Amino acid sequence: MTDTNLTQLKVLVERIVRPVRASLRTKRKVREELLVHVSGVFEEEFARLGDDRGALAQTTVRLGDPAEVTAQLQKSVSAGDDFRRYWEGEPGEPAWRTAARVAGGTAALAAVVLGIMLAATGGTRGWPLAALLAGVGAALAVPAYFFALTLFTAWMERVCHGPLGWSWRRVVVAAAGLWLFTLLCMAGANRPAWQSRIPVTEAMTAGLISAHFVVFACALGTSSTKRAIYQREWAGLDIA
Amino acid sequence: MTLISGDKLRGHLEAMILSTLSDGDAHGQEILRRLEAAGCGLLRLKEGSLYPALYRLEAAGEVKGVWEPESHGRRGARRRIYRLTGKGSRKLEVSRGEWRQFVRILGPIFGVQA
Repeated sequence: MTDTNLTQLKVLVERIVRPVRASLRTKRKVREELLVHVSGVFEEEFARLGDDRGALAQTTVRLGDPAEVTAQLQKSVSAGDDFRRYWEGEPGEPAWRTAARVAGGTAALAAVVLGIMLAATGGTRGWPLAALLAGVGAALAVPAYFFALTLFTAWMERVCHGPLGWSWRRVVVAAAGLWLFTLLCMAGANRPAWQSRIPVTEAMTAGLISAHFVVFACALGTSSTKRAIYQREWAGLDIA
Repeated sequence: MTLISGDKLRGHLEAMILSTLSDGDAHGQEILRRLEAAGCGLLRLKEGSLYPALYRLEAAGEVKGVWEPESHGRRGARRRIYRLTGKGSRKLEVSRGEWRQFVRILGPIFGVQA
């Protein structure tokens, strides 16, 4: 099969899949599965007719009316997929919006955990004021941290895979920034214990853990870039 | 004989898929091949309709789809292999019972022996 044929088959698939309101993950599954199907049909028809255009026309007929298949696919999308779609965000949305969504999700989770802990210990009366303040503080600080971490991840993605290309200097600056930020957050969280002196072992452990967050951000940035490249490839097909 | 297609198959497609998968795991194209073979070439499905039906069955837990580990030279695209689950087998039995009842009731109305 030539590249041109493959692109034409992708257009057939994309006519069906693009209008479906579903998460990127669901759309990716449908695209891959339909593409392998239409490729098989095309090869079958090409073997029968011996002609590219005829085989493509026959593949289109066998697949059915795209609008009808789109409507059927839409009905097959589960309610849970709406949540996934919300969580994934729109392709190409600004980083702050992704960060706000992550922070919102983390805040909701932190509130639920805090609520469960309070309920399990008989409400706020069972808690000393300092512990209660620490719990509420953590529930507020964790979303703020994740907001910043998401922004750092987007920054890492840009410096590693952005339009300006790879530059060691920018990668080192971004990585050092994220490492330092995480380290400061950990120091802030341990402030009561570290007030009189900073224990060397714990500080080194915090430094190592912070370094892991840099690796995590790089991995996340890379996977997000791959997703964006895939998205651009399909979004670039002219389905009119 | 005339071909059976479109509206006449609507409402039966999911049960037909379940029945096809009771013969063994299969990917989309193989399911269509089995349906066409079982229908002696007289069944004509719009092939795009198969996948929404498979996704509905999967969401209902009646079939389970697993990606093939390798694309076997299909330029990165992998097939999804579907398997009938226990719930799907039970649903198939119910559908078969409903179909027998349908034929038993409508057969005499059409003047055809069930």
